[in-house]
Amino acid sequence: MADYGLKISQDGYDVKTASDTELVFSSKFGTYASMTIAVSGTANKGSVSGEQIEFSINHSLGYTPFILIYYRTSVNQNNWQWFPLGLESLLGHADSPDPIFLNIYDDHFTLNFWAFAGNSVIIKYYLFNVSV
Amino acid sequence: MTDYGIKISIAGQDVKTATDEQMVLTSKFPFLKAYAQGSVTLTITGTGIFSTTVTHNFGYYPVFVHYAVVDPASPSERWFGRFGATGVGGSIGIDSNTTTSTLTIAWEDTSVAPGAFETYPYPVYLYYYLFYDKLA
Repeated sequence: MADYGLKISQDGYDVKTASDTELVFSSKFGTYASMTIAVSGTANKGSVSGEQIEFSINHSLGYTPFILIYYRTSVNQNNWQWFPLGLESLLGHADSPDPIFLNIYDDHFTLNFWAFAGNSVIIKYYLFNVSV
Repeated sequence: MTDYGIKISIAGQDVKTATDEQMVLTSKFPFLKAYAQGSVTLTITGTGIFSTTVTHNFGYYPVFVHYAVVDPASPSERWFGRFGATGVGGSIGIDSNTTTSTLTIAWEDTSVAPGAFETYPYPVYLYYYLFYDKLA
């Protein structure tokens, strides 16, 4: 690292002597250091006849981003689940839409659920400044 | 973006003209802000579903992630979210969700030949991160 940049140490560590793992931030780490959220949003879709629910969300990042997605279904509106977990419905909601697959592209992503008639799904997504 | 904030460019790029992709940090984009990290252990004593609950009492639905470590099947590996095992005559599954006050993580062992995946009892170490950021 050149002798310029920015370092922030954790509480209790001297920033001048702290190791990399004792830092909150260092510009030495490059673009992967910050894992900032480039795009976030929500979307909502319903199934009227029992079918796959497909979300197709456009973005203009120009790269295939690291992504986190969470979802809430009409079957259990008090829980948010982390995609792609939930396929086994271990937590007692067997009639809930099942997450099945996610495809990420450099300009959009698609996300599919199996659903029963009348189900709806809300998703919250975070696209990061890191490509996969 | 408004004309205030902080930007740090990667080495070799002029921060005044660098693109977003050439930034180490820019306050134009938010971070996920970690609130807590911790671990819980599930002891799997046979086939079935085992779950554990972490109380956070945020009053809203927080972003979360978790990793699983299975001992002794894969003590050196960290499984991000899902854990799957096949060839044991059944499957291993994980499910999780958050309410406004708790994070629940469940593990299912459906080995047709009980103990084919691991000899019972076996521990599953779950490492979780909770973030200040709101899902809703």
